[in-house]
Amino acid sequence: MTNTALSLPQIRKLIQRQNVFDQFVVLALLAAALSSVIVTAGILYILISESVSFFSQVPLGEFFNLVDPKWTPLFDDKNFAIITLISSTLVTTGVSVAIGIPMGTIIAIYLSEFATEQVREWVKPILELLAGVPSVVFGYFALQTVTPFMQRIVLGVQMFFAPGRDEFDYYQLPGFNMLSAGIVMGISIIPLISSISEDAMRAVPKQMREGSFAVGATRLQTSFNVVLPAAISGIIASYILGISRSLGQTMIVAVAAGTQPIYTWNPLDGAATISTFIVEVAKGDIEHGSLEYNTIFVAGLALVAMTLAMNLLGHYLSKRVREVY
Amino acid sequence: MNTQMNEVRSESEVNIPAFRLENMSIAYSGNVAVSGVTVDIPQKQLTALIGPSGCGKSTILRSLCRLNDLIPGVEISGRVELFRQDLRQMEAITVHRRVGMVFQRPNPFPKSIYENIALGLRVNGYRGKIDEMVERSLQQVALWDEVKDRLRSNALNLSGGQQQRLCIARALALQPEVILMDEPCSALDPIASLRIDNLLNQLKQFYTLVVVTHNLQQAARIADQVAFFNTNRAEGRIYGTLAEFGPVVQVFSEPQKQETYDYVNARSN
Repeated sequence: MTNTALSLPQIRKLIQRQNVFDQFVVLALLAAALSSVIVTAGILYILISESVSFFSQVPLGEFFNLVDPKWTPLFDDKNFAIITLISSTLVTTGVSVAIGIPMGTIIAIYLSEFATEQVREWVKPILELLAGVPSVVFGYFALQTVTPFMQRIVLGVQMFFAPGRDEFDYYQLPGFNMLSAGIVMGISIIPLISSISEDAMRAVPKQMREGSFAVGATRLQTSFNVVLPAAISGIIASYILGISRSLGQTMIVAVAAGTQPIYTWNPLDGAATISTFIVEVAKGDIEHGSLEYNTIFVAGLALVAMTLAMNLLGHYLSKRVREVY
Repeated sequence: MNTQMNEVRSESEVNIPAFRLENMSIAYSGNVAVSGVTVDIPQKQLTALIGPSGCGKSTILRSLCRLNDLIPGVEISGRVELFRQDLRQMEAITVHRRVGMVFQRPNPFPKSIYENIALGLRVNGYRGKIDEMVERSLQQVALWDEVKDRLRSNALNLSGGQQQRLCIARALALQPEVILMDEPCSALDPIASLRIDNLLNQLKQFYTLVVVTHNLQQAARIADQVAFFNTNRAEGRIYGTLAEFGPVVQVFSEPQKQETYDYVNARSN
C-alpha cells in the first residue's frame, strides 16, 4: 500500500512552487496593465517634447492669441493662434453632440424600456452595423448626401421667410461646412451612446421599476423619474465617450468640413479642425524637426488636453451623481 | 382633502369584501402556478397569506395589483373583484392608484427621501400640499423624527428598515384603499422587523392589508385572517391551491385540515 498523503516538507515545496508560479502570473498581468500606461506616457512625452521645441520658437502669447487669430504655419507669414483650430473642433463637436446625445438617449430609453424583444433583436444589429461603418464612408456621406440636402434646406428656409428673390441672390451654404460634418459625426456616435446607455438602464433592478408602477406611474414616467436617474452615471459615461470621439474624429471633418484654417464659430462655414490640420500637414512633405513639423505635435497636444479635460469632467460628474443600489 | 378618493371609500359599503376572488388561476407560459382560488378578503383587516415556497401566494398578491401584467406570458383565469368592480377590466394605472404595494426588498427610488414620496403624489396629479403629505406619511410610519433634518438626502443612504418604512410611507401617501405587502420583513433584522409589525398593527385599523409572509410568528402577531396555500403535484409540476382560510386563531389552533395542521405545527414548534 502506498501512502498518498504528502509529508510536511513535500507540502511546503509544493506551496513554494505554487507561489513562484503565482508571482510570475501576477507580474505578467502587471506588465500587460503597464503596457497601456507606458504607451500613453510615451505619446505624451513625444507630444510635450516636440511642443517644447515649438514654444522655444513661438511665444505663448502668439499661440494663445485671441485678438486676431490666424493659423498659417505653412505660409511665409506664419501665425500660430490655436484658437482658430479649437473653435472649429468645438463647433463640429457641438453639432455632433446636439444630434448624437438626444438621439442616442432616446434610442436607449426606447430599446430598454419600451421595445419588445422582437424589435430589440431587429434594431440592435442595425445599430451595431452603423457603428461599423468606416469613418471615410461617413465623410463622403456628409459631403455628397447631407451637404446637398442641407443646402436645399438652407435655401428653402430663406425662400420661406424672405420670398421673391432670385435663387442665386440668397445665401448659399458652402460645399464644405461644419454643419453637415457635425450632423454625420453625431449620427456616427449614436450607436456608442445608445448601446452604453441602454446597458446602464437595463442594469437598473426590476424592483425599482415595479416600485414606480406600484405608485401609479406610467412607463414613461417610470423611465424618466426612476430608471434614468438610477442609470445616470453610465449614461454620462456614454456621453463623455461620444464627445471624446467627436473631438478626435478626423476623416469626416477632413472630407466634409474643408481644410481652410479659418477662425469661426459659425457652423455654416467650412473650417479645419485640429485633427484635419494634423492629417493635412502629415500627408504633405515637411522637413523632420522643422517648426512646421513641430506644429503637428503642438496641435496634437491641444487635442489631447481637450479630450483629457472631457474625461476628467465626466469622471467627476459620474462620481458626483452616482447612485448605489 | 383628497375628495375623489374619499368619495370612492364612502360609497363602498362596510360589509363588502375588499377583494373577491372567484376560481382564480394563474399560469406562467402554460405552467400553472396557482389554481382555483376562491376567497373573500375582508376590509380594514390584515389578511396574511402563508404557505410553503412555490405555493403561489406571491403570484396571487402581485395579480391583485396587476403587477403581473408586466411579465410576458402570464395567463389569468377566473374573476377578481376590487370592491365589487372587475379588477381585470380596470385600467392598470387605476388599480395601482387604489392598491398600494410594498415589496420584499426595500426599493426606494434613487432620489431624495422627500422625492420618494412626492413623486407618487405628483404622477397622480395630487392637488394638496405635497410638503404636508410627505410629513404626514412619514409620521404614520414613525420615520419623520429620524429623517426630518435630511429630507433632501438620498433615500438609498437610509438603513434597510428605514428604507422599508419609507416604501410603506410612499404607498400610504397615495391614500390607497388596500396595501399589499410581499414579505415586507424578510430582508430586515429582527428589531427593524418588529417595528414594521407594530406599524402594521396600527395601520390595519384604517387600511385593508394583505401581507405575504414566511414567518408564522409574524403572521400570528399581526394577522386577523389567514389564508394558507399549499403545494400540489401533478404530472411532475408543482402548483398551489388555497387550502384553508379563516380567522388567525382558528388557522393556528384549530385548523380544519390536516395539511394546515402539519404546516403550522411543523414550522412553529
